[in-house]
Amino acid sequence: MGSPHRTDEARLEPTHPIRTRLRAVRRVLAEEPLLTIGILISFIMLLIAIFPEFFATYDPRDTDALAPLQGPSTAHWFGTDTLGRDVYSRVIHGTRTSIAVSGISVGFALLVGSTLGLISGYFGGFVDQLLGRLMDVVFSLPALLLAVAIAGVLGPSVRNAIIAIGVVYTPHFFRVARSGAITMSARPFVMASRLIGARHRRIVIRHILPNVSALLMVQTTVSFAYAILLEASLSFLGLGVQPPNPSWGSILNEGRPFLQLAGWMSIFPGLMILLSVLSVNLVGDTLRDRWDTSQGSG
Amino acid sequence: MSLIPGSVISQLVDQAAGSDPEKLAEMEAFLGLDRPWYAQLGSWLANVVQGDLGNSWRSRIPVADLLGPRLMVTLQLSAMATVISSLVLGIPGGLIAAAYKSRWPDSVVRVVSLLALSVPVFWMGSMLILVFSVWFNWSPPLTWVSPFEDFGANMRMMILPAIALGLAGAAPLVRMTRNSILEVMGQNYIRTARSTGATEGRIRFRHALRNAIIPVVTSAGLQFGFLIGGAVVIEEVFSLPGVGRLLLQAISQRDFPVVQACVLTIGIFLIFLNIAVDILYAYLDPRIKLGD
Amino acid sequence: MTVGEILAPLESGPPPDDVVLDVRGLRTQLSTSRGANWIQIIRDVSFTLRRNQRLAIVGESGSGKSVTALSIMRLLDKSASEITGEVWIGGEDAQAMSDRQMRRIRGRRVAMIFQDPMTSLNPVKRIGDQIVAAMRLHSDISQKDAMAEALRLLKEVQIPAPEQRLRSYPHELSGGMRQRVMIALALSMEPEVIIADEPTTALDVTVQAQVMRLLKERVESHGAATILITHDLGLVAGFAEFVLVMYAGRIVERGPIERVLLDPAHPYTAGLLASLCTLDTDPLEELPSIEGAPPRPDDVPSGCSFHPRCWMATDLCRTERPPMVEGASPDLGAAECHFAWNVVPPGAGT
Repeated sequence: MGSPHRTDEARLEPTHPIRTRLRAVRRVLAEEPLLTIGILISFIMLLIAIFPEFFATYDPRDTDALAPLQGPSTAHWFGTDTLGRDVYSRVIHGTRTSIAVSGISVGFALLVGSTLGLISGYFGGFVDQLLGRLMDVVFSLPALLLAVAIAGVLGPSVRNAIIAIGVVYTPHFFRVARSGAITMSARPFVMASRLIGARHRRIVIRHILPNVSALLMVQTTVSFAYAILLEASLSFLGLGVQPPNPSWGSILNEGRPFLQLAGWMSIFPGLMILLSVLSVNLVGDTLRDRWDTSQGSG
Repeated sequence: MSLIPGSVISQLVDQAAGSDPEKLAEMEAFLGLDRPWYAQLGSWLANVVQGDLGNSWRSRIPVADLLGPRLMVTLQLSAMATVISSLVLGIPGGLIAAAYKSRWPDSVVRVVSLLALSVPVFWMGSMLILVFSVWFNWSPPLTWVSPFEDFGANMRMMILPAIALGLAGAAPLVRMTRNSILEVMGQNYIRTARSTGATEGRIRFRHALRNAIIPVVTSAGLQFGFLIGGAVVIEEVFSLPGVGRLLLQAISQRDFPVVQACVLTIGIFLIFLNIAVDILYAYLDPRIKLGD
Repeated sequence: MTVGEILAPLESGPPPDDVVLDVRGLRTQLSTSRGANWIQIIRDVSFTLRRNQRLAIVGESGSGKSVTALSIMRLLDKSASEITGEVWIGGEDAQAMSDRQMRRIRGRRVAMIFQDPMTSLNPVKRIGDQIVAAMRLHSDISQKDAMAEALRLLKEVQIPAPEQRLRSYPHELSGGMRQRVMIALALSMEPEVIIADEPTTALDVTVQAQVMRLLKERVESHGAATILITHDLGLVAGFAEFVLVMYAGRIVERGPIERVLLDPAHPYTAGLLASLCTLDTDPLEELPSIEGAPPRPDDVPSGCSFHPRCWMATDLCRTERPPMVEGASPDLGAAECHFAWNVVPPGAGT
């Protein structure tokens, strides 16, 4: 879909590659309103995560013994919790933790998964067999069950939650990188580089990685959405971010005993999760659609 | 296993006899924790192969006895959620999206399924509890009833968690059904059916659906396995005595034979599920013969 | 009644009773991208088919033969096609029918046999069930009687072990057998017209001959008129009574089979004939073939659309579309060429 436009643009303004690209991007955004919405919300979420102080109305740790469990009002938009803390400000500050934990986890999975996948696919043989089986085992277990078990066995903490989520999503990147490496290794130019004696590391980094990076990017987006959900689940179960530190999941954990009494403690953090995951999914879904069509398999 | 903070020994001993180092060592030896981790793992595996999942460190009850009844709860929940996500939501949603491809119902289905995909399962559970407790004065029951004892009561407590779980699993099935139907509708045998004068409805349901459903059934079967994962947290929200709650309880008590057994049992169940899905696939698609 | 009468399209109103299919001024446009980019595929096709006749439409791939068939059956994707003209089937104009009326035409009055037997049968339904389902769409026959009839039809198309084949799935049959099943399927609805679109292209040469012989026998015994669509003039020789030659969406020559094969009136037909292998052909000599390829439908040349490939082309051919020129007697058919009836075979030296 994108390519004919690109050639049009190129013909119109051959001397301004950057402007041409910007135009192409603008055209894609105009064609895909859902993508635009997704990017917009993601951007706002990112701003909240970077500058929570700007958005928050209270200190997230400030307790107010005189105003516990108050419903939403003009003073406390999302109400207050059992200790009289402002739920809105806690949700705002929780954004940073939630996004950071999910982001670092996916980064870990991307790094480990794609490195192992490239090695496995490029070299094949015994290493490939061993890594492949191991990844299959991890892949076949339900994500949440595995994350709960890992985080549980290692002990509840942010670091261990990151490890658990990272391990769960490593096989996804492994698979993408491995199949990409296998396909690319068979290409004539890669074989030629091998024949003229280029070093393996150079071939993998210079020739194979750039060709799987688009797929890895789509996978990163998709996994990031799931990682936010997984982090929230772990923290909700008390296996991730620990109270009193706010994260979306840990606020929900605190609100859980008061669900019927103080629903706002559960409603708003959940909506925040929904909104952020949805925005990432909107981007991921569109990317996948476009990628699939360009591959001719959609 | 030395990494683990607050080992079971210190927990058990704290309760029992304070921190007498002699008692501690005795206890460790009794549980076999004085041996290196690989020896522990080895003997555990050896026992598992013989069908012995070991005893709970906590309650001394054989893990198999703890796990059995709870597995039934989890499987019932996941099975109901699978039915909801495929038969109630996924396949009808995909059919609608395919029938109105690129028109507004298609977009609505797409946005709704993306929404369902983006909702945290446990939060959906909480919201259902909230809504039902406010409107119908319903709250999650304190004791679980087996479907064989009182089917109605069992359904009343299982249907909401199953819906919360099923919603999460519907989105991939909607997408799969839609794309599968669209692909099949372009096949030559659909044109043949049209050339015989069959109605569009008949073509869609008698000819296209039967072919398009094959990959959907496969992925719904595999979805079953992933919904078991979601069941862990849904059980906690709805206080259902399933494997998920057992697992969380065992984790908080650092009762590792139970944790290992939970993961292992579900892993083994998933292997059998995969085999079952393969058999079902061969049954649905006459072109595939088992053993080929 | 003369051949000329048979081949000349009727002017207006319903055709006489013995005309089972009357196509008048058919034009079809297809859209390459959903509602945009319209390309004219069929440019004015007219012909008449009477009861029991066997007609062949011949042309290279891309000449619009298959689209003609699909237009008649209205099997093209509605949102991506635009059909004008009249198609009279059983005293009514099918182009003016509702979808519901059209469904009663399909199969019952005009049945189709498609090119690729490997993919044209539903892979998850048994052969017998597929035939029975088609039959029961158009008559009140009971399931049991329909199954008995299906068995009789499988015997009729000479499928070995028909009782077992009734319960077979398509993938268990060879290509030739599947095409026999397609023939049985078409016959089962007792249509007045059967359109066979390249029925043997996907088959081995030896199987091709068997299937064509069978098709001819069966349509004769069932009294169905037939349109054979093919690129292979050799296939036409043993099957059809009349031939239409198509090029770039138009009929460029029509006539009775013997006359067209022995004395082609259009250079394109002559070119097709010259490229045929016969018993007299020297196996070592390269067969003459028409140079170049048929024009893309979105880039049809001016004047006579065949002129860039024609060895007889003059300036007149490049600028002016030739008229349809009738032969000395109306029985001989007609050709759309400035030099019709005076054709020099290709490679005969100009």
